[in-house]
Amino acid sequence: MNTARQLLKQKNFMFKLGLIICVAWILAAILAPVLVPYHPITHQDMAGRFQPPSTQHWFGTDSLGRDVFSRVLYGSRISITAGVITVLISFAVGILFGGISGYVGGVVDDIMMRFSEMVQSFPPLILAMVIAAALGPNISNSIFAMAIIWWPNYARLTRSIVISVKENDYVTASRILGASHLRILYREILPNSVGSMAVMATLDLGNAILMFSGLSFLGLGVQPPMAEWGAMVSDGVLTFNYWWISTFPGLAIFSVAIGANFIGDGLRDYLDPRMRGRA
Amino acid sequence: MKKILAILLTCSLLVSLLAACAGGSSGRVSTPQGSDASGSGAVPAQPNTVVIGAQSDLITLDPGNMYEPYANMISYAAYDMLYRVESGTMGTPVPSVATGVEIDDTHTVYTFPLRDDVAFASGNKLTAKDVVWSINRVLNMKDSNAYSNVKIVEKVEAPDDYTVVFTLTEPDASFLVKLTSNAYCILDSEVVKEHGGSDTGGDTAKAWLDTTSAGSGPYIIKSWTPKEQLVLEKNPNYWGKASNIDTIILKEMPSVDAQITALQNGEIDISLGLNTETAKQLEGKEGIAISNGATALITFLVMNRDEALSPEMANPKVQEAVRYALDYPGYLTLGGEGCTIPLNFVQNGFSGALTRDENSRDLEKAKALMAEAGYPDGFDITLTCANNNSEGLEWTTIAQKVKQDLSEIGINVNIETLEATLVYEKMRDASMPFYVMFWSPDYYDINNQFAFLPGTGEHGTAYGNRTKWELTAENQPLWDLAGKIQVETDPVQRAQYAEELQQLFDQDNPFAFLLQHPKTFAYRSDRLENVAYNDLCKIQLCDLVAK
Repeated sequence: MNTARQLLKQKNFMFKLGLIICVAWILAAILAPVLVPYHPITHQDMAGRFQPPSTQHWFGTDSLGRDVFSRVLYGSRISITAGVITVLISFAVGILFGGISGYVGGVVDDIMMRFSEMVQSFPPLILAMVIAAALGPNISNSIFAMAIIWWPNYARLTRSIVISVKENDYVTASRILGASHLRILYREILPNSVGSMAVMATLDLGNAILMFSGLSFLGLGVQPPMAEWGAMVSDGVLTFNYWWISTFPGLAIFSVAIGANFIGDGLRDYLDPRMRGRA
Repeated sequence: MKKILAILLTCSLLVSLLAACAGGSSGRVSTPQGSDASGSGAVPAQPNTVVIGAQSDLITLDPGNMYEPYANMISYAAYDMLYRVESGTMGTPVPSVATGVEIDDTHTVYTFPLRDDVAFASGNKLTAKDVVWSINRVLNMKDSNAYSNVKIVEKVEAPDDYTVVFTLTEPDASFLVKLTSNAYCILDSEVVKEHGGSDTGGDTAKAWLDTTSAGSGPYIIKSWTPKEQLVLEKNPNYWGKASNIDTIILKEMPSVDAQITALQNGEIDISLGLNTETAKQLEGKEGIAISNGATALITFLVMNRDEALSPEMANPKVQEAVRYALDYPGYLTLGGEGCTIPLNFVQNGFSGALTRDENSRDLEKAKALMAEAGYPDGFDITLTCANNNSEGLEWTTIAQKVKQDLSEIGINVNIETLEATLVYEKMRDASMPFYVMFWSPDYYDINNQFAFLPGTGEHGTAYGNRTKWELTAENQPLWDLAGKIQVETDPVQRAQYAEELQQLFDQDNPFAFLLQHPKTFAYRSDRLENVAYNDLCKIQLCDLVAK
């Protein structure tokens, strides 16, 4: 709580802007059913297709006469949830994998790290595409595909932090006092490494949303008629002169990604004492 | 560092807004006004050269081997057939080198008297022996794709220099339509024989015919670089009405955007790569006309009769309910100008084709049928749709409309989009209960459409097998009528049978036919006139007139 207050007190404009953007999107996602003027899926209007933005349809209408504004709002539910879940899974898997690898060390560390490098050596988007396509396109499969390519980042970060933390005197002291491995890991090492992990997770949130949109754009994420930003951008690709169909979901992706990045940057600056105080 | 970020953010916002505005104002000034281009530097160097931009994917120019969509655009320019497609129709045959036809009572012997004033580009006279030689050449090329169109011919003879007699293996009322395709092109037998041509098998003239032509058409193939361009030059010895165009260049342009730009700045005169949606970028541009031509491409829903896949969807009553639940005017809007809805499996433009009454949506009747089938509360079903489109209309858009329409009678549709190749594979395995598909015929006659009639197993039909629609005593009348249509050579009687067949088919079938699509193309109206489209030979090159 104290940390949070200190964070907000900082003269960090970018951090606050990011926070405002992200909070606004989360609120939009939660309140979407109340806020939208039209139903994003079932409100089809054959007579009102391809209408440009107006007071009636703020973001215009698409090829089936659906309100783009309502669809963008609803799209935030899927995109943000998918991004958060992906990061959470990768975070959990990574922290476990990296923690064991760094703490145990030796041959186990070598094997585990070579394995994570193997996963990382594939081009991420291509690997995600292959996995999502092989499992069949739907939301949970693309989240799973993204988690598979994402966890090694966390594993490697955790490992390097664990290795540096476990050499500290208080860890040695704890070991001399006869603490079990589990206790050392849980009470000494985890609390001291979670900060950097949180920074990375926030920074990654934007990337995860971007990649999920990318998969949907390629038809590997959500199935129509669900409203999802990446899929909405691809809806407008063939009908390029109706610019609003692609532009608004594109701007939505952009704003969420940059908002998450600002928060991540702010967190990192706060946690890095050398950067503290510089605004 | 934060300042940099702030600047970056502002810049990217500005860029995206600018991009949005640029995309929005269609009156964007990119090139000098198109109307000023005629007669100035933007026009191709020779005034009588016409350049066509398309993605033709031609793989050979030998009329005996060609089978690609653009095959007949070239074969009609360089060669003549006994019959050709009448301009502006879909597959209606009219005499060309033949002056008419006499058909005997068995409907298997066709006697064609020939014109005596036709000469090849080489100067040789075109006689009956050239016709016989050309047909025998293809008859002996059993590996060729074009062979499927000539295999109905048992033998072909020339009793004199200007008479040709075809004997068919069985009566086939679509023979004259087949006769208009490139497989029946008449080659200059003297010249082709010099280059390895043979009418008794072992023909080796294909390589030579890929570089030039040996026909009597209005143009000669001058040169061809696959995937780059094909050059046609006017035939000075052409026997018919001479065109005022000296050279036609078919330029391979796989990118639609490149075609649009090239058409706007006058680099090409006709763009064939467009569709209903992409053509909108050219709307209102000066000097450019957008036009529609009818095609035989139809999009429809397939509902499998296999109860193992979905007992609900396999029910004929449910399938009928689906047909009553669809909002046909909505699909016409989606398809854009020039779309029509065939009543069922016969395309508009074919003899005897019927059109669906677009106000035939009847939700009450559909709901009653659902109750009759035993599903008053509806059911869940997966609708598979490939990542594909019909002339620019995305199948996913169609699927979403279908989902909306069927929700009104309680059917909850879940859309599943898959790679097109995967969908085709599943289609042949008949392993999908409900899917979106399209179809384009091999030749423009109702006989080709019998692939939609019931019949499973080895002697079944394409869609009989794909839907497990079995031939039973009840639907046998469909085939009784089809049998008559197959052989009936009187056009009026045949059209009447065709109408009867469609009405009978409409009572029970596992399909819902949604749309027949137009082909949208654009050309420089300040340079060309008489740009006519037909589905067989795309642009009729011999009809083009330069201004």
